[in-house]
Amino acid sequence: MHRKSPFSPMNESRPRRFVREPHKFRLPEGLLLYLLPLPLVAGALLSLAAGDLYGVIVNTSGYLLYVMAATWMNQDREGKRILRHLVVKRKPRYRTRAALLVAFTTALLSWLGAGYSLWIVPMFGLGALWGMYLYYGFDAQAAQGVAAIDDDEVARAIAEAETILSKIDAANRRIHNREFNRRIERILTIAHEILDEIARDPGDLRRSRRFLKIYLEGTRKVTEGYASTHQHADSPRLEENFRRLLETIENAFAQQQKKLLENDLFDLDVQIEVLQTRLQQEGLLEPAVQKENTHE
Amino acid sequence: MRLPKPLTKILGWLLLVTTIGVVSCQSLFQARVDNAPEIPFFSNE
Repeated sequence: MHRKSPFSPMNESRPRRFVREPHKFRLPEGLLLYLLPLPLVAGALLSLAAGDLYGVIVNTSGYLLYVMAATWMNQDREGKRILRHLVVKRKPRYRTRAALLVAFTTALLSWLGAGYSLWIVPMFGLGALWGMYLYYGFDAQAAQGVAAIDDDEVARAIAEAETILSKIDAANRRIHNREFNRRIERILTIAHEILDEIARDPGDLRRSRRFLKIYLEGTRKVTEGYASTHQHADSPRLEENFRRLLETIENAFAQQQKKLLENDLFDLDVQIEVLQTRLQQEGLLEPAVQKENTHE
Repeated sequence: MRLPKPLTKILGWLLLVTTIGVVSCQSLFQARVDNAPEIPFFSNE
């Protein structure tokens, strides 16, 4: 007869299923480019009041060009959102174009609008270009010294990771233990945030390959294994082992996310080794995966 | 060596504020100076 686990209260409320929020309100990507040039609008109105056609044209055109760059930035993010959630192969490339437009507009305005001398005009243009690069980044993150990761590669890696995550989610639904459900939901949330980060900065994919391979696959095996085993035989030892594994995985996921955000390469491998050892101890890592990792 | 993302963002933000902000404010100031005599509010007369 099926024994009742202390962690599987059958009569309590059902575990909350992991539901990805499809849309979160986010400020427009190009918000800064709408706000910073606002004095140009005042300048245009002032010139209009004085009947100064030149001032009206220069200030209005300047603001409109910044708005155009901001719109491109928004479209670019929309493209990346589509890439992340629907995994399409092509995304529009607008960032570099927007950065160049901002640099051109700033240089032009510093000359025609602000009246700076010609030798300082390129400084403004280059400053704005550098600012756009640091703040928004360019389309090809590969410009930072590593080979380019093409969109197909990113899309494929994300699609594979999404498939594994949905399998983990499905296994989680078969587990009737609120504590484990919550832990797995937290792991899924962090994993989705990591995928978002990779979609935002494809350069991160290179540093996350082992994570995607070991962590996600390991988590899937652990979760599916527990989901199928605990229905036949509940044992406190099994639960304790599963709990400890989930703790290790959750910590490893959080560390991975932190390191990705900090662009820190060095500690990732240590974390991966820790999880790999745990998974090997539990007999959850296939020799093929182990072998592949030793060659990387 | 790559800078941490938050630091990169702050540096980028500062550069954008400095360049676009200065140019926009200076353009406004220039418009005010150029047109001051024509606008009653700014005129000394």
